This record gives sequence, C-alpha cells and structure tokens, in this order.
Amino acid sequence: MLELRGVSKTYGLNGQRVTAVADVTLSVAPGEFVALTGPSGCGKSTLLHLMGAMDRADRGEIWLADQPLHDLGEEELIQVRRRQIGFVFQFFYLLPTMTVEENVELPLLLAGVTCHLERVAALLEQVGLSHRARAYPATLSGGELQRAALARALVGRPRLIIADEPTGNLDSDNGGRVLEILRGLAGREGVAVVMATHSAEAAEVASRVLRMRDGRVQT
Amino acid sequence: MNWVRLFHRYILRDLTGKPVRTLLTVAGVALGMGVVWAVHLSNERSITSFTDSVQLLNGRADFQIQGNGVPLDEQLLVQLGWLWEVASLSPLVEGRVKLPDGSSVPVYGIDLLSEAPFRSYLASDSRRALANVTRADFLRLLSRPDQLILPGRLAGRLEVKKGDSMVLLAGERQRNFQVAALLEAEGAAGAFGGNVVFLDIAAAQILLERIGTLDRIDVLVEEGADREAVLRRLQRELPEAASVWRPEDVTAQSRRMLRAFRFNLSALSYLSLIVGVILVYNTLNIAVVRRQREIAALRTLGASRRAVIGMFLVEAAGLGLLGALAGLAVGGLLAGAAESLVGRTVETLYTGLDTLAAERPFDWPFAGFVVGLGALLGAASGIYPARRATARPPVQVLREGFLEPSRLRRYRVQTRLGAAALAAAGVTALGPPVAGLPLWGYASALLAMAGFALLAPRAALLPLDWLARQRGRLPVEARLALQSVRGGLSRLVVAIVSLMIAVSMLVGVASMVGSFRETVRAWLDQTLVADLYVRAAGAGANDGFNPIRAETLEALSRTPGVAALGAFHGRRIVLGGFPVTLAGGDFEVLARRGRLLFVDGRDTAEVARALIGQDRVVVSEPLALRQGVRAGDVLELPAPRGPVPFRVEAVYYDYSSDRGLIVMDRGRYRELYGEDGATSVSVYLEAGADPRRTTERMLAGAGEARLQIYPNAQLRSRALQVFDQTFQVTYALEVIAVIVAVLGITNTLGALLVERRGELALLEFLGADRRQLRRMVLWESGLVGVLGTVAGTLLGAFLAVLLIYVINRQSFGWTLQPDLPVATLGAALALVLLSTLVAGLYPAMLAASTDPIRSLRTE
Repeated sequence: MLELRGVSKTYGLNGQRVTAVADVTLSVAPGEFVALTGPSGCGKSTLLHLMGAMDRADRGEIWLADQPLHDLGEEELIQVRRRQIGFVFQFFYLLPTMTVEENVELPLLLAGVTCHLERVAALLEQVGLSHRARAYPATLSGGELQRAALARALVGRPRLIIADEPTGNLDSDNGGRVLEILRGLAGREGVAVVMATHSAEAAEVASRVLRMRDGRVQT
Repeated sequence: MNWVRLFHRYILRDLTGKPVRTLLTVAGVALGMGVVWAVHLSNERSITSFTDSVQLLNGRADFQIQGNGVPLDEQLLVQLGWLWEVASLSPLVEGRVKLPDGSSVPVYGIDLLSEAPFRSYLASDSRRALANVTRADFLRLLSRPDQLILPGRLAGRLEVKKGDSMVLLAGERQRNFQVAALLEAEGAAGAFGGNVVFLDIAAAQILLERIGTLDRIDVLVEEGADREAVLRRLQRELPEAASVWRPEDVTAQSRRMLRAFRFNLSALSYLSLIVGVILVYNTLNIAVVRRQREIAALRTLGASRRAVIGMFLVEAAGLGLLGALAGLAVGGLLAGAAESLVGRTVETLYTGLDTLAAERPFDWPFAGFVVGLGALLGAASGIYPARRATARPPVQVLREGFLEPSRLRRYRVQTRLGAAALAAAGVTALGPPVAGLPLWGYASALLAMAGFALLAPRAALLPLDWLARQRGRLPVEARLALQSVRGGLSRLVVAIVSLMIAVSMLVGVASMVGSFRETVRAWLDQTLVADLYVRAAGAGANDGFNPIRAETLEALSRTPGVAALGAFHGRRIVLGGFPVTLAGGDFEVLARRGRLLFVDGRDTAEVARALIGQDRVVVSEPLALRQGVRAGDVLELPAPRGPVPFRVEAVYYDYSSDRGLIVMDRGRYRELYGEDGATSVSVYLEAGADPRRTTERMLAGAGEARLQIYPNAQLRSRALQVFDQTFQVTYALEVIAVIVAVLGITNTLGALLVERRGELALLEFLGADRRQLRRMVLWESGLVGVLGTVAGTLLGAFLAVLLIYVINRQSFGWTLQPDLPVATLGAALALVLLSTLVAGLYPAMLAASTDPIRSLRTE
C-alpha cells in the first residue's frame, strides 16, 4: 500500500543543512494503523508530509498504491492527494466561514466531484455530527471539530489517512473517540492510517508503533 | 522610553516587515493628499494669481473711481480740483490686446508722471524694478505714442528686446510699437505672471479708441488727511455715472466671480483624500484583527489598554503623516498637469487671460496644513481599530482568537444609522445655497456616502446570500471565494466602501457632465442658428473690449450674400457685487431669424419684439438664480447720465458663461452708451449663398479691419471643445480616486490572504491546486469589485441628481436636462471592474506562492 525506500529529506536552515528524515525505509499495509512517535523535532511531521504527497524527498522512493510519488509531477501529486489521501491535524483547521457540512464537502468540490451530498450526510452520521451539519466551527467543541475534520478526511474515500497529532488538542474522552473512529476505519474499511503522536495512550491503539529519533525510524 | 522601544519592536518592525502593504497604504494617502495639494497649487497659480494680480495693479490706492461699465470723462480730473489738494490721483485706461503669439494680455495706459506713489514698477523707490529703465526711456515714452514697456519675462517669451518693434492687435486694428523698456516681474509688472503691457495713457487711448475717456482714477489720500471724509465727499460729488470703490471691494468681486469654481474643484479634490483615509483605517483594522492574539499576549504581560491604543494611534498618525509628506511630492508632479488644465478653464470661462505663468512661492502654511491633516485624519481613522484591539478581555482573545461579529446583530444598529443618514441626506439636499455656495448640497453628498457605507455590509449580504444558495451552479473557486467574502465581510467591507465612494463620484460626475454636455449641445443646436459669426481679431476670449467699428459693420452688411446682421455689444459692469456683462442685442434680427430659449417657454419673437425700443431687458439664468432676479423685476442699470431702471422681460437659458448677462435692445443701448460698434456679430446669409465665398468677401470688404469669422459648425465644435477641456480636471480627479480605491482592494486582499495563509495551506492539503487558489482570489477581488461598483453606481445615481439639481445649479446657476452618458459610463464601469480584477493579481500570486507546510506550521 505505502512503501518508503531509503527516503531522506534535508532542509536549509540559517545557512546550515538540517536532516529531517534520514534513510527511512518502511511499508504500511492496507488496513494497518501505524503510530509514529518520538520527541518534538525528530522528523515525524516531515515524514508525514512526504507520505502525504505534500513534500518531495531528496533521496529514496515513495510508493503509494503502486504509484511512484517520487517521480510524479506537481499536477499528478495533487491528483493523488485528492483521490487517495486524507489529512487530519492537531488543530483541526476547519474553515471558520463554512458550516460543518461545507467543510466536509470541500475536498470533493476541489476535486470537481458532483452529487456528493449523500456521502457528506453519511459521513456526518458516521462521526455523530448529523445534528451539527449546519453549524459553524466556532460553535463546536474540540471533539466535534476533530470529528468533523475526520469526516472531511474521509469524504474522498482515501486509501491513506495521515493524522498529525489528532488527539493532541483533545481531552481523553474525545481523544478516545477519535482514535476509535480511526481504528474502525483501518479495521473495517481497509484504510491505511499513519498517525504521529506524542501520546503513549494514543499509540497503544495502533496496530504498530514506529519510533523516530533524529530523522530515523528505529525498529 | 520603554514604550518607544516597544513601539519600535512591535509596530515599526511589523510595518517594515510588510513593505508592500505599508507602501500601498502610504501610496493611497499620498495620492489622496497629492490631489488636494495639486488642486490647491493650480487654484493658487491660476485663480489666486488672478486676484493677486488685480490687487497688484490696484497698487497702494485708497480708492478707485470707476464708471461701472461706462467710461469716465477725462474732464472729471479737472472737476475733482479739490481732490488734488488732499490726495494724489492717477488716471488709467485698461483693455486687452493680442500679442504676436496669439495670446491675449491686459494692456494698461498709465500716466507716468503720476504713477510713482501708486505702483512700484516705475517708481524711483524701486531700484530693482528700474534696473532696465533709464531716464531717457521715460522721456521717449512720454513723447512718442508708439512706445511700450514690457515685463522682461514676456519679452523673453516673445523673443523681443529693448528697441525692437512689435505689433499689438486691439479690436479690429493693429498697430506697430517699439519696446521702450523692459521691467523685472515685480510690483505691477509682476501681475498676471508678467503677461501685461504698459503704454503711456495717451498712446493707450489712441490704441483702444478711447480718446477723451478714462477707465479708472486711482486715489491715494495724503498722510494726515481724513480718508473717510474724502470718501464721503467723493460719494456725494461724483457724477451719477461714476462711483468710488475701495480696492478690497474690487478684489472681492474677482474672488466672488471665481469662488464657486474654486470651491467645487477643492471639494472634489478632497474626495480622493476620503478614499485614501479609508485605506489607513483599513490597514489598521486588518492589522488589529490579525494581531489580536499578540495584543492580548502583550496585555497579559503588562501592557495597559491605553498603551496599546496609543501605539496603534501613533502608527495610524504616522501612516497619515508619511502619506501626506509623500503627497506633497506626488501633488507637485500632478500639479504640472492640473495647473495647465485649471488655468485654461479659468482663462476661457472667467478672466480671458493667460494666468498660467504666474510663479508662486512654496506655500508653507498650506503644506503644513496638508501634513497636519494627514496625521490627524490618519490618527482619526485609527481610533476605532485601536479601541477594537483592546475591546475584549485578553484571556478571552487568547482562547477564542478573532471572532467575526455576529453579523445580523451587529449590522442592525449600522443599518438603522445608515437609513437615518440617508434620510438626512434627502432633507439636506433641499437646503438653500449658503453665501452662494452649495454647502448643504455637499453635506447631503457626505451624508449619502455615510449612509451607503453604513448600509453596505447588510446590503452586500443580500446578493452574497443569494449567490450562496446557487451553490451547484458556481465553480468551486467561486464558492470558496463567496464563502470567504461572506465570512470576512466585516473586514472586506472597508475595501468595498472605498471603491463604492470612488465609483459613486465617477458615476455622479460623469452623469452631471454628460447631462451638461447634452444640454449645451441641444442649446447650441437651438440657439446657434446664424450662418457665420464675426469677432474683432484682437478681441480676447470673454471680454467686451475693442469692438468691431460701426463702419466695418456697415461694410459687412453690404457684402453680397449677407441677408442680415445681428450685432451684439457687451460691456462689463458690477451688479449686486458681481461682475456681469451688460449688452445690447439686435432684437429685430433675433425676432425674425434668431432664437433664445426662455425659462418660461415664451416664443423668441414675442419676447424680442417686446424689447425693441423699450427699457426692458432679458437676463441669463445664472444671473437670475444668483441674484434672485425674476421676470417683472426692475434693475437699475448704470448709464453715463445715471442709473436707468429696466424691467426684466424674461429669463433665458445661457450656458456661455456663469457670470451672467443682461441684454437690452441695441437701439436703446446705443442711445444710452453711445456705442455703435459690436463685440460679436451673427451673420445670416441669403438662401443659396456660399458661406466660404461670403466670408472671403466680408474679409475683403472690411478693408484694414482684422476680423475672425467662424462658420456655424466650427463655432459649435469649438464651444464643445472648450466644454470638454473644462471638465478634464474633474475626470482626472475621479480617476485618481478610483486608483486609490483599487490600491485599497489589493491591500485588503493581500493582507487578508496573509491572515488566511493557514486556510490556503489547508486547501492545498485537501487537494486544491495553485490555479484554483489563484482563481479563488480573483473571484474574491471580482466579488469585491462588483459589490463596490454596483453600490457605487446606486450612490452615484443619487449624487448625479444632487450635482445636477442642487450643486451645479447653486454654484453656477445652470439648469441641466438629465441625460445619462450610457456608453461612457458603461465603458468606465467596465474599466473599473477590470482594474479590480487586476487588483487581485498580486494577492492571487501571493496565494499561489505560499509554502503550505510552512504556513500550516506557523499557524
């Protein structure tokens, strides 16, 4: 499903090269729920961005569902993101000017998909937000916001969910609920989930835990 | 000291860290201020320099004796024997001549022996002015009637030097003169920027055909004598036709004549300033919203509310100040173009003189005013954003961030205020002129702008909500744009309002000018019915000096092909404190062939016949409106043997000058003033006569008389040309206001995008490509553009009504028939819309070039 072979990424920072991801090789199978842990600055987010086709590796290969992301052009990467990847963030990032329903619908609109209202309604039902469909994000609780963000990540039927600290801003009840949904997705629908987290409790929910330190994945 | 440091670190670094936005804000204010400064400079150089010139030529006189349109008899100097005991007197003859380069300048015939106490140009007390004048020059001037004195600058322009000969054209005659001396442009020789010619009084009387008459006697009461007593005795003893004026009254007449023009031009110039100041408000408002969390953090660290407000107010004042300083430079550049346009208009419509060349020193007080105004308006525009910065408790802000105000609740108060402002605008529009100026009209315009601005957010939601309901039919970029415009309306509305104001003035002024032009065109069509029009070649643009002589008229009327001549003679008089033209017209010819449009709709022939041989006049509409004259009123008109009462038969439409005309029958005019020449002549040809051949015959038959003959079509197109030229400045002012507003859109969208960079990054994570982001921003600027333009057009329609029926009528006294210049307006509005899209290009590029990962991380 997702395979990284010898992937490295360095950044220029104040005239110095900083290695964010160093020679990472790993694979994630469909339906697998992988937790990525490690201290701040160890390269978790960079690795997630590389997996999510938001950034390019300096070296190595990244394959997603038999597509070589490392070889694709900008336009093709956008298509991959639209059709195969869903993102969930620590700070939810719902657009404040749109209702919950409109936020969930957004990726489909960007991908030019029509006739999707049923899909949106079903997802909101799935995450328990049908009653807040017309509400604006400002009126939602943290847990509701993250569930809305999850629905948005799922709306395009992705094969891969990239979740960056999805419970980092939630209390344990709400965090648990979100993790439950993610686990259900992986288990029932065969979606691969890669989640970066600082929380040991959150990592426990995953089917596999990878630890990162100084840009490397420790086995 | 700590606050200075904090201001530097918190405010200045933010300003310098966002140079594009800071520059756009300063540029907006600079353009607005620049326009105010440029219009002031051109007003000063062309209008004030005219009134100053009048003052310079008045010299040190305590009083002036004038004939009010009637020449004074030279014998008056003898009759005023008693006056010589207590005062110095200096007689003058004045007129206009045409120079070899075609320009029309004033000519003054002066009595060299009595001038010294009055004006400094020839006086022995002015060494610099006399630099080029020798005693021999004086004597030559006195002894030979073909000598003239020129300011050195004029001589330079004409490329003549002392001793050269040059031709002066006065009326229909031209004469050769020799340059006797050159003057420095000081004192009287500095009047009209040195564009003035001096002759000995006797030479001037010959040149201007005023033998035995004077135009003016200046009186300087000696030290120790009782001025008021002298004035009272003069008032008592002067013959009926003469009157005594204080020089300040004379200057006041010129000022009054130009006041409305000047006032309206200045008022329009302040419009760009309003738009510029809105830009400062906008920048501050956006900065405050963007930095609300930072401000809250500062407050939790110990910054007081007052300190935060103070910092933002100083920032706002600083932006205004910088803009104003830059505005002085921008205005200096704009002034070059504005001056020549304003100068030409003043020359054509009012003075008939080339007043452009007048140099004026840098106006420090007004520059100080501009800079102070910039700082003050800047600070004022910062008050609301600064207060808003600290309105919520810091802990709440840190927790919740920026909250878009609950729209309907907030807009309810605004909407009520807006409706009240609009109602007030309607009421004030009905107010009468104040001291001849449409102050209530402008108050109404400002109230309408305020009303529309207050109603804008609520009104903008109507189409936006409607569009939002059309979800399925809009492309995704449009839907995204729509949502962000709806969501960010409280901030975008400022850009919408500034565009609305600029567009409204464009629409209002274009409609007024279009209606005016159409009215003038229709008026020309209906009243300009003669085949040819004749003037003396040496006649200035708008004066009654130097007529065509009676014998020339006679010769013209004998020309084969000429069926009738309508001769017209005008002279300037003062009526009710305003300079007006008193004229005699050929009502017999008018009744048979010509046409005037009367306000009461009466037939031309009927009114014309009622005037023939009677003490009756018709007056032009501007005069009637300004002085409250109506048909049936009686006017006391000055005449050589004392004022004569004339009954006003009718008021007629006239768009040739806002100065006002009083026209009586030519026969009666001749009896009263002994004038049998004409300042202009309408020529009606016999059926089948060829205009060109008849023109040639007329010129040949006129002998030595130099005439200008225009065919009907040429005069008509020239009139419209003058009209178009007059309004070029007005258009330029509107265009600048639109430019400032468009800068505002770029600024607002750019700033909002920086604020929304997290949102843009998110869109990329969710699959948006950069084209979509670019298009979304262009849709946003398009939406802002459409909202501003539509609102501006509606407001502009109200302003057009105000300009046509109130402001223009109260300022200049003209009735205009409303006529929308649809094509021009359509093109202008399309251009505005296009430029709002262009305004979105930079923000669109910005949107498409952000690094989504970095943006989301900094969020």
